[in-house]
Amino acid sequence: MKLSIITINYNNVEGLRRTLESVAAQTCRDFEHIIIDGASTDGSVDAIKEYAKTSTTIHWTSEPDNGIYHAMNKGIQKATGDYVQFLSSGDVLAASDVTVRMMTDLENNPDILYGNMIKKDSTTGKIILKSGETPCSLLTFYIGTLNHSCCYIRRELFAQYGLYDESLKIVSDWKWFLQVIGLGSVRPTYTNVDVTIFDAGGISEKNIELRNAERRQVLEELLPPAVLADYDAHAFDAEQMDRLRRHHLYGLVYFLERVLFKLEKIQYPKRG
Amino acid sequence: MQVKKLSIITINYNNVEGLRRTLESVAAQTCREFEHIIIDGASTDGSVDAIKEYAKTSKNIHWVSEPDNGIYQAMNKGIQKAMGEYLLFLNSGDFLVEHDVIERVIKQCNGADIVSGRCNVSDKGEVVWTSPYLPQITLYTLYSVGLPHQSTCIRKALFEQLGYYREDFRYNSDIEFWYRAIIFNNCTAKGIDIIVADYNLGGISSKEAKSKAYQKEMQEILSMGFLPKVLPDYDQWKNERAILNQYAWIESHPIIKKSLSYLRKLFKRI
Repeated sequence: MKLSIITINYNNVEGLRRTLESVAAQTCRDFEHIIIDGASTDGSVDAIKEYAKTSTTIHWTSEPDNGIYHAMNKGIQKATGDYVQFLSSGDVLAASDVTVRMMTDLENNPDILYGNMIKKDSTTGKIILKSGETPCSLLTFYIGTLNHSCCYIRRELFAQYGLYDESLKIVSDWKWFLQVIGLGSVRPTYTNVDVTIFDAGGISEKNIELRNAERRQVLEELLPPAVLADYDAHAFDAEQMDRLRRHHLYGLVYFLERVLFKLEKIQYPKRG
Repeated sequence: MQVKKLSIITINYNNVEGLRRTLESVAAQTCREFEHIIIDGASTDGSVDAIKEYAKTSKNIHWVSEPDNGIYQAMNKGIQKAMGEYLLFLNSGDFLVEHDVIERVIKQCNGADIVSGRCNVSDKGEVVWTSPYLPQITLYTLYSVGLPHQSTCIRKALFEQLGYYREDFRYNSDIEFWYRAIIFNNCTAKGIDIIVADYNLGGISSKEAKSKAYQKEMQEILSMGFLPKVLPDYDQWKNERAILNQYAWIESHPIIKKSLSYLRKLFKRI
């Protein structure tokens, strides 16, 4: 088995149906779909049963758990695929050929393969944001993250780097990426395919304050103070830089800076 | 031997002239709360006589003269002999700039594991550069400026906890130690705005700064742990800071800003 798609769900039957539908619509069948339900009471189980009837690729459980990362870890332990993709209830695969297209890239055995994520406004259906290729340095994770749902992660990495931290509520996937990509030696591979449509009402949207608090806690735990202080300052400068890039004089300033830099380089050997 | 606050460690090999300058500047200190340890590598140019001369008049000097395998082995010998709480490495040729500098530095040696002062760099008796005051010592500081070894007091216990200077390095063991202590073991470091020592160009690391072995050592240091992952961010940051500084300068000069706007309009027309 090449791929395991893991869907976690808790009392979100509507989102779950959308997710199940988009997975069932995939043209490719060479994957398993693992659904970890946290003992929902809103009819989610019926929805799963309905889809499981017509599909042999669905494996599911429904039992109480301790939050989303506990559920994801359960999914990882159940998975048998070489790669796992986390498609939480509400997230939708962007097209029916996504899995096929990503599978061809998985043939090269990257550690982590990621594509684009589309964020749509749930009422108007307009695309708000489309994430593309990211540099994936530590600064990337200090400021933002790699979108979890459009990543195909080699399952062995969880044996190597550990599972998701279950003591955190909403940033464990980010913490894992920070450890594995930001500080570790894994380099993710990008491919220009629209993979998922993100449900803008997800948990991370609602709790920005909690997210920031958890992120800070993780940063202080993982980064030496002498490095964290730099990133605090660097993130501020990066924001200033972004603003400056939009400024009408930026082009000229940049040009002059290059010229000065070159002059300095020419002078340097003369001095030495 | 009585426990002192500070041990100054001087290593020397056939550099009697520089050694005399160092000994003189240490002997001239107003404060006596330190010991001076001199590790000579069995010099043959009269260094030993110079040491003996100064040792006669001072109880604070402890010295040894025997062959060794390079400067970092000599420094490690000095660390083992030292009894002070903090260590200052003042190699022969370097000297303390003022008579009361140790008195002032010792007052600052509390709390932090590493206390880093400023350093004059001089060439043929003339000061060519003074290292900046470092209000906050972070990876950026180590990567872009570095700490001046001659002006930095290091808590002796650090060497016992984290290991000594690497003796397989020839040039950069001190730099390797900064990274090991501050980045990988979260030791505290503080900068102080006191010019402590004068560092004489013509020393080994300045002469051979571009040699292959030197570069290889630097490369090894910069590939420790997660450093290869974060240093590209630092390179990018350096560029961004340069641009931001330039822009801030333009912003503070309205005339230049106006003329730039005018230039831009002109360019657009073309």
